[in-house]
Amino acid sequence: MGHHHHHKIKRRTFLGQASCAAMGLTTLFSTVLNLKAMNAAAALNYPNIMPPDPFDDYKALVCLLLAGGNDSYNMLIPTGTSDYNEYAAVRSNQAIPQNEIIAINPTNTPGKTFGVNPNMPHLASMFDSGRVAFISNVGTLIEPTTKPDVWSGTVDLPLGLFSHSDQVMHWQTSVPHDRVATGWGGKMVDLLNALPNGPATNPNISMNISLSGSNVFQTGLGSVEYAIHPMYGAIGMNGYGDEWLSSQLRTEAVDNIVDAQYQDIFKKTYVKTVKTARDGNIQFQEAMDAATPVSTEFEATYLSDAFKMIANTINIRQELGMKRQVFFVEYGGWDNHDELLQTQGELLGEVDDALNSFNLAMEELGLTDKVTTFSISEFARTLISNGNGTDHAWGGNVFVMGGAVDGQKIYGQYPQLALDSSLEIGNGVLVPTLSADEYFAELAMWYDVPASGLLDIFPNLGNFYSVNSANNPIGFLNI
Amino acid sequence: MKTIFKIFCLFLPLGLMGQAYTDYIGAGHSEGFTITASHSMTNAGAENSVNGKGMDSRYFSASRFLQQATMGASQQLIDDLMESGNDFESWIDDEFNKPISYTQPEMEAIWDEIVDYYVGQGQNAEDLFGPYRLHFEYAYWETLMTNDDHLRHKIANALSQILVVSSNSDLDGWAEALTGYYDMLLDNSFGNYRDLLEEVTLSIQMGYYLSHLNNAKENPEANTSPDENYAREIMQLFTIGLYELNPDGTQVLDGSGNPIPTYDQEDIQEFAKVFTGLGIGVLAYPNEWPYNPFFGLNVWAAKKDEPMIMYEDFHETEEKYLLNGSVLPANQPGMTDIDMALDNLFNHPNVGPFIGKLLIKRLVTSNPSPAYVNRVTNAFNDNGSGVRGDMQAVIKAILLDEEARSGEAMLTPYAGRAKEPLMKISSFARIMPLNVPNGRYWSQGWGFYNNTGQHILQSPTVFNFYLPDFQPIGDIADMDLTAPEFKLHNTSNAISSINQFWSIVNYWGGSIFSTWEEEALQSWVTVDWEAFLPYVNEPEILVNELDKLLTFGQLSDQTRDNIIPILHDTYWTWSDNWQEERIKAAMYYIMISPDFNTMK
Repeated sequence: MGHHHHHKIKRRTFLGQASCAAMGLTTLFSTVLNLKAMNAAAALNYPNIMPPDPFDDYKALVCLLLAGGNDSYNMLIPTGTSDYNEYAAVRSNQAIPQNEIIAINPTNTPGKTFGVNPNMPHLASMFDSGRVAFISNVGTLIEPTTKPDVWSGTVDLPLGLFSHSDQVMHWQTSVPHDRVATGWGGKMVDLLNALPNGPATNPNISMNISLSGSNVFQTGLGSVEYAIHPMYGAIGMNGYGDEWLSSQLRTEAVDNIVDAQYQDIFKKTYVKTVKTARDGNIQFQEAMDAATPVSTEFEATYLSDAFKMIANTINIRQELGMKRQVFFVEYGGWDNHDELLQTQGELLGEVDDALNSFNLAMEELGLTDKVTTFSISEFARTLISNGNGTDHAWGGNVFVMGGAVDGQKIYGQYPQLALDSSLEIGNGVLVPTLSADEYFAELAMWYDVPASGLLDIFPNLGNFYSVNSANNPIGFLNI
Repeated sequence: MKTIFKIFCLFLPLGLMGQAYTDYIGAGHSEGFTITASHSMTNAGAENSVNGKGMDSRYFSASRFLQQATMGASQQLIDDLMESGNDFESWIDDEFNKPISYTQPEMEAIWDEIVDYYVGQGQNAEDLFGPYRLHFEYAYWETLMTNDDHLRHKIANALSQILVVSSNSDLDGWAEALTGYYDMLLDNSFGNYRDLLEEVTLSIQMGYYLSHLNNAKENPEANTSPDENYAREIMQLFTIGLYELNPDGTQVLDGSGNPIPTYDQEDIQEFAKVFTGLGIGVLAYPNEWPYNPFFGLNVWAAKKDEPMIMYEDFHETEEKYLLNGSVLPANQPGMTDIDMALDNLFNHPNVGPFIGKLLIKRLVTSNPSPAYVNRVTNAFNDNGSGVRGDMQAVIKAILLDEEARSGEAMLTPYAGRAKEPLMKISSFARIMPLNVPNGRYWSQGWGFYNNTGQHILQSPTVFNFYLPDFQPIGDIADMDLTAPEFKLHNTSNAISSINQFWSIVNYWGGSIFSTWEEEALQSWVTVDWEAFLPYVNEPEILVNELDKLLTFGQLSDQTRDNIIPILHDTYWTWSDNWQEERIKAAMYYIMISPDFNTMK
C-alpha cells in the first residue's frame, strides 16, 4: 500500500463503482447491524437514517415479474397515424393490426395517442379511470446513457446486456454493475426492520412474501422471503398436520425433533430455523383458515390464483401483525423468439384478468390506496421481427396499478419506434431513457423507506436523482 | 447389557466381530473427555466408546474422516479404511495417485446416448437443445456415484466454491464450459495452487464470468479503461482477501487497532491493466465464419473449454505497479505480465492463511483455531521440500491435523460445521443401498437447487453460495463465530430442503435421482429400503443401523428418544405397507434431524 503514489490517478476512478458490490453491501450491512445493536435513543445520534414515518398505516407492494422479456412495445402501442405507420413498418409481421388495438386516453401526451394490446381491455379501462399508469422505455442503467455513449464505450453499461440471467438479476437487485445475491426488496425490508421504530413485524413470517419461492428480489442481508403457494397458501413440511395416521405420526416426530433442546450451537441453530418456519406456517394457515376469503371472483389461471392468494394474505394482515408487506410473483413464458403474437397475447390476457380481479379485491377490502402493483421484466424485445418472433433488447414499458398511482398517464418518453432513431442501437434495441433505479426508488419512497436510506439500496441512484430533491424521481405515485 | 450385546453381535460388520482392538477412544484417547452420553442403546455414545462395548470407535473414526475427505463415504470405503487400521495418511497418498474420473467424456457419452435415442424416435438431432447445464448435471452425478477418486472430487468441490464460476449465467447453455471448468479443477486439485491460479485466470469460463475476456487496454480517444472486475476478484476472493493476515489467519492490526487493507483502488486499476488482451483461443465452429478467432469476438463463437490467448495489440504496454513494490516493466509480452502478476499475488504472505482457512472451512470446521490455520499456512508456504503452494501438503495438513482428527472436537460445541446441501444428498446416495433399475445415476439438479439453494457450479454470484464469514443471527453470531452453510438454511429453504428429503424417501415412488428424459432414459434411483427389512421389527436396531450409515454413530439421544416410540407406533394390521413406511420414516427422521444436518 502507498507504494505507488507517483503514478497517475486515472481520469475515471468511478467513485460509484469503486465501492461496488462488496463495499456497497458492507455499508448497508453495517448500517443494519448498527441499528439493530442500538436502542432508540442511541439511534437518534445516527444522522444518516431517520425514520420519517410512524408506520401506523398498512401498505403493500406487489412485484409482478414477467420472466423471459415482455415485448412491451406490443403492450403499449402508439396509434397516431404516423407513429403507428412507423411501428407497423419496423415490426413488420409482428405488428398488431391498428383496428385491434384498444384505445386509451392518456392526459399527459399532447398530440400523441396510444392504445394497449387487444387482450388487455381491463387494463385499458383501469388506465382511463386513473387506476393505472405506464412508464415508458425504462431499463437497467448505471449512469445516464445515450446512443453515442454506447458506441463510444464512454459510459459503464450493465453487465450482461441482453442476457436473461444477468438482466433478470439486475431488475431484482438494481445493482447492474455487478452480480450480487441480494435484491432491493430484501434490502428495503432489512432497512425497515432495523429502524428503531420501524413497522410492526412478525417474528416468524417475513415482511417479504413470495408466491414463487426463493428469489433474488426478496433476499436481503438479514432477511429472506416467506414463501407461500399460489393455491395452497403456507408451504409446510410435506404432510405436516394432515389427518391420517401416517401424517400424524410424522407430524409428532417432526415436532419432537424441532422442539428438543441442544447444547451444540450448530444443532441449536439448525433446529431454531426449522422451528421458526414451522411456527410461521402454522400461524399463517390458522389465520387463513379462520378468515372469510375475499369474495371477488378470480379466473382459474396460475396468475389469478397467485393474485387471489395475495389478496387473501392481505386480508389476514392484522392476524399476522403486518403493517408492511412486499409480495413477489414470477410469471414466465415471455421469451417469445417464436409465436410472439399468439403467446404474448394469451399471457397479457391472463395478466389483464388477474390485475382486474385484484383491483376489485382491493376495493372490496377498502385498501385500494394502500396496495401498489408494479411490473418488471428483464428487457423489452427487438423492434424488428426475426420472422416469427422477436429477440432480446433493452429499454421497455412497465405498468403500475393502485389507488396511490397518479394514473391515466404515460411517464417518461415513449420512444420513436424506428431503426436509426436517436435511441436505436441495432435490430430495434432501444437505449432506456429512464433507469430502473428511478422507477424502484419512487416505489420505495411510497413504501416509506427513508430518503436517507435510498442510496444504500440503490447505489447508482445518485447518477439519476438527488435524494434531497423535493420531487419524486418520476412522479407516478402520490406520496 | 443383554441388548447391547445383541446389537453388537448383529450389526457390527462381520470382519470386526470378535476382534480385539487397542485403538478405542477409551483405550488411551479418552483423557480430558467429558462423558455425556448415557443411553445404553446408542452405538457410539461416549460411554460405550470408552468401555469398548458400543460401536467400534475405529468405524466411527474412519467414517468421520471420510465425511471430511470425500463427497460421502461408502460402506466399502469405510471397511477398507478400517482394514488398513485407519491409516489416514496412506489413504490420502493412495488417493493422490488414483486416475482422474473426468466429467467431460461422461457428458459427451450421455449426450450421444440422448441424441441417439431421440433421433431413433424420429426427432431431428438439430432440434435437440444441448448439451447444456442439464447434461453436465447428469454427468456430474454419474461420475460422483461411480468414481474411485474420492478425495479429488471433494477438493474440486471445495475449489469450485473458492474459484467460482457459475451456470447462473450464459455458461448455463454450454455443458462443455461446465465440464471443462470442473475437470480443470480436478486436474489441479493435487497440484500447485500457482498453476491452478493460472489455469483459472486463462480459462474462457472465468474470462466470460468475470469479464476479462475481450478486456482491452486503455483507449484515450474513446475514453475507455480496462475492466476491473477480474483484477478485484482475483485479489479479494482467489488469493489474498481484503485485509493483511497473520500466518494464523487473524488480521494484522495497525497502531489504532484497525485492520490493514491489502490493496486499494489504484492497485485494482494496475492489475486491471495486466488482464488486458485476452481473447478467444479456439473457435467452436472452425468451418464457419469467422475462420479465425480475433479479439473482441463474442464468447458464443468460442470453444468453451479451451483457454483464452493473448492478443498483444490489445494488451496494455505501460508499466504496471503491483503489490509490495513490484513493477512490471513496460512493453513486456502480455503473458509475461500475467505470469509475473500471478507470481506477485501467489507470493503474498496472505495466500496461505487465506486459502488454507477457506479449505479448512470446506472440509473440516467453520471455526478453526488460529493454531490450526497456522499449521496449514506452514504447509502451504513450504511442503517440506521448499515448495510453496503444494496442494498435497495443504490437504494433508488440513485432514491429518489433530484438530480435524481428535475426537474431542465432537464434544466442543463450536467445532464442526453445518453440512452443505450437496453433501447431504451425495453422502446419503453414496452410502445407502440403492435400487438402480436402469444402470444410470443421471440426475437433474434443478429441483434440488431450487429447494436447497445449492448445486455444483451453480452459485448465485462469484461470492459463492455463502460467504465464509457468514454469521447466522443467534448463538453463533453472539459468540462471534461463523457458520457459512447456514446461509442456505433460512425459514424458506429449511422447509423446502426437508421436503426435498421427503421426495427422496417417501412411500409413493420417491427417488434420489431422476432425469428430464423419456422413460427409456430415466434413472429412477431409489433407496433399497428392503435391505433393512431384517431390522424392521425392532426400531431401536433399525435406528442404530441407520445411525451407522447416515450419522456415523453421532445420532443424538434427543433424536433417538424422540423418534423410536413413533417408529414403534408406525404399525397397522390392515396391510404390510407399515414395514416400508417404518423404514423410510426412520430414514426421513434422521435426515431432518440436526445430527444429520451438521458435521462434528
